[in-house]
Amino acid sequence: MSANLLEFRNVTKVFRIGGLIWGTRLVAVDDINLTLGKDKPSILSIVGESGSGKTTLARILLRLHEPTSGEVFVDGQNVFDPKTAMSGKDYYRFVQPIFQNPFETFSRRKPVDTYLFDTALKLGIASNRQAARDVVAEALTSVGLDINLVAGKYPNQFSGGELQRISVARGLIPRPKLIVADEPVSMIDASLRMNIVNLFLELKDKYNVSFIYITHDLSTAYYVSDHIAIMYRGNIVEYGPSDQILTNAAHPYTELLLESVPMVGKKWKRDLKPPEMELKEYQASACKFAERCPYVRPICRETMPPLVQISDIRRALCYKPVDYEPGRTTIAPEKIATLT
Amino acid sequence: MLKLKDLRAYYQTPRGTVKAVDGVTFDIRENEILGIAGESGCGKSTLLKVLYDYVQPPLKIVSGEYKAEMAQNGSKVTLGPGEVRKYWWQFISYVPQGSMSVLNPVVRIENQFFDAVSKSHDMTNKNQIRERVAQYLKELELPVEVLKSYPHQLSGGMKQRVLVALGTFLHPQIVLADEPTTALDVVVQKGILLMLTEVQARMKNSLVIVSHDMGVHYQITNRMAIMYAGKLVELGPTEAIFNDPRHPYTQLLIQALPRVGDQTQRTGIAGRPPSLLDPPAGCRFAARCPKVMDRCRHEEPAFLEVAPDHFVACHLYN
Amino acid sequence: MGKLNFRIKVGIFLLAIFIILGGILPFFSPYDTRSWNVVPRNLQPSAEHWLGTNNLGQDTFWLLTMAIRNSLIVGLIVATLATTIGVLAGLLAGFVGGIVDRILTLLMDVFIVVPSLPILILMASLLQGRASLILISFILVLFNWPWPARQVRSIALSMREREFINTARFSGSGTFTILVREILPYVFSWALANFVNTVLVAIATESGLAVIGLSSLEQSTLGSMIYWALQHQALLGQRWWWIGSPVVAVILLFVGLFLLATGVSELSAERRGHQYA
Repeated sequence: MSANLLEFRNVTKVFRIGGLIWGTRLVAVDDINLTLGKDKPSILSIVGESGSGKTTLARILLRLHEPTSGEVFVDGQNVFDPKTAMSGKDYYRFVQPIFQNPFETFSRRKPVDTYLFDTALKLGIASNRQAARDVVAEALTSVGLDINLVAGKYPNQFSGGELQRISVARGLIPRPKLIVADEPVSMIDASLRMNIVNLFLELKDKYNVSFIYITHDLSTAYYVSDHIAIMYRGNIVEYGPSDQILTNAAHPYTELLLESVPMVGKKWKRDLKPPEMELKEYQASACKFAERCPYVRPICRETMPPLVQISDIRRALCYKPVDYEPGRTTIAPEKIATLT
Repeated sequence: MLKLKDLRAYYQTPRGTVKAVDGVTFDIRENEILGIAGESGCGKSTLLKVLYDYVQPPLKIVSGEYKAEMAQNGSKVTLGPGEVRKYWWQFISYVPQGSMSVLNPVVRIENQFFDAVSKSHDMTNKNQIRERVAQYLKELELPVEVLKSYPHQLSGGMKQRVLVALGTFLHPQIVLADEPTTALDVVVQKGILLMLTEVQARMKNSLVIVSHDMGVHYQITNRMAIMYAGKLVELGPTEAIFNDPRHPYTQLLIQALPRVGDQTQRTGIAGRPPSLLDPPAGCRFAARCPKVMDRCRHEEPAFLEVAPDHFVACHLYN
Repeated sequence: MGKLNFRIKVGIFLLAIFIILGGILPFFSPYDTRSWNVVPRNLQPSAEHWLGTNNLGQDTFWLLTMAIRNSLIVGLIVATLATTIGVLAGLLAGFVGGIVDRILTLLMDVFIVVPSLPILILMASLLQGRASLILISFILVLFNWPWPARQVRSIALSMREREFINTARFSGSGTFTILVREILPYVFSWALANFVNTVLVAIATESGLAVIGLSSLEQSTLGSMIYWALQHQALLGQRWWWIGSPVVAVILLFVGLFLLATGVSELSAERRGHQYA
């Protein structure tokens, strides 16, 4: 049996935008390889701008999109192979989502708790209404809410932060092994984000559940995750343990993200190259970041950069770590400490 | 340039009176970037509407003073509520949140410029306007193709830049930006904020930025106002506020931000702000304040100067 | 009641009159309205015969109540069946998509494009007055289900992408449950407005057929009452009560239904936050 909770193998997703004749191909996700181990629960952040493909990747994992090519394995089973894939309800007991917009996550016309009761009853966690109530109450308590204050109320009676917590509570009910959180705090005030993010850390240990945390905000990603994958226009350009990446970034794009976070304590350098009209970048057949890269060399614009194995747990898609020499995919160990 | 004194602006709704701005005193000075910070629902967007003289029923200025001083042909003209709106785009302009549908979806961007300009200025020659606009976009490093595009062809970040260009094209003396970077990702956000600061540095006018993100305020503002439940709780130079935050709410706001490279335990602020329909007696932050005293629940703290140009409304300093 | 707007109030008031006239009173009718010559002919309105009597020896008032009753029955049956079928079809087509959608949309388009009135006239004239109201109702259902179906389909289509549908799936709900518990609430007000409208269309079509003599000749409806009146020269003979009362009844009934339908649309638009429907 596979030792991996989750594995993306050469996953690519191509969309056609525009019509059948005049439309263009949009490679949203480009040959992604990513694994999440089973040995202990962990949090993997997938960080990128809008258009990086991170949301598409999350939705493939949630079976809301099918990959154009490549395979996705969850607990060793191929998710999209009709012969071996888990059935709907089994899958929902394994993987649960948290969506970005807390006000769209629930129907405005129903009390929010109906979704929690449904999850408990329909996924077989509780066999009757009374037992379900206990399950729902426990789930709400674990996110810091009281069932008596939640029961019977409609979404517009809660704040965004509260609704996200309810969303987390609902996702916890079937005791999934994996929770996919798609930008869960983007629509919440900056000062309240830590409440939700801290919750992930707590629940990871308490319930033995791993998280895939999709975000564009590096600071919360750094705070909460064990590993980070940085995505740019469909590729993973850097991957590794979060503290290593963020203190010693290998890829210029990671540097750019780090510089762009409005941090208290360090003022920005006032230099920024504004992006071109976005569509041009998607169709590049060389390094997609070349136009914006401060370290760009001619070779970057000619061929796709190699996947450099920086250490056995870190990799980056860039020419810079290998001194722009084509064909090299490893770097000398002494050089690892001074990548940036 | 614009002064508010004990201003109260309420919404009259069927459910009751929403006291969105409840006794706010501050001013907007020349050549500065002023930030207004606070959680959602604290009244900052309403405050911005009041500043912009966009007060329409059910919103009404109930009491207090609103005075603007416009520079015109070398001298200063005093304007009151109802008069400032005659000088929209020229004296004062408003940059809304780009993710909302504020741009007419069936009109090309260049025509949106025409609409804005022709209403307020004497320029009516379209070619002239087009040239001036293209010139201005180049200065702001916006690609010229933007002019011929429709709003849906632009990304969120690009739309926001266009709105900034629209709002600053006529060189107004005050620019109000309402959450200009919410719903945009960090790289785009930085670009927009730097664009705003560059425009301000060049025109030497005043920029007011409303945002719930303290990090944004730290990066680009000179002075800051912190709002809570319709009232100002702290006001002062940005450096002073971050180095020496006086009000417990300000302290919590700063502390709630995670920093890269620092994995110390951080907590968000617990609880929810009080409803503006029925605010509690005494200090409105009392229910969530870690330093609350008995006095806080009965008596509203006064807005006092505790250091040069640094004001706080808190009983700890009284 | 305060929340209901002016249109709904007037509409309900008018329809209430008709429901009493058509739903309750016929049980008290002292005459069998299908027989002729039960009372003296051509009497003017009096205390005994409120609208007088007609050329066939029938009491006009009680004939009218029976006509209203039958017309309402036709309208209600057609509207109920057409709306139910239409809503179900629309939900399936919009939400499930794929081949189901293609087939259903084709059916919808066929029955919208093909004009119903000529078909009805053709069929009725072939059967020469032996067409029962049931048969006519059935055909009316066939031509009326696509209208609510199309509306509901586009609502279901737009709702398919909403995030809470995904939440419902991850909560274990199956497709049918989602259709009924997530999407149907949004569709309900459209369905109601459509229902009322279909009542109007059904009665109008049947009356139209009846006036030209192609509806059922045995059961009297508002239209057939007009038909018989015309046949017996009511206009020339100035028998105003006989021909006038069904015409006025038809007009008032339609006004009532129209006001109710548009009132309901306005109300649901207001609820969603728009000023005008």
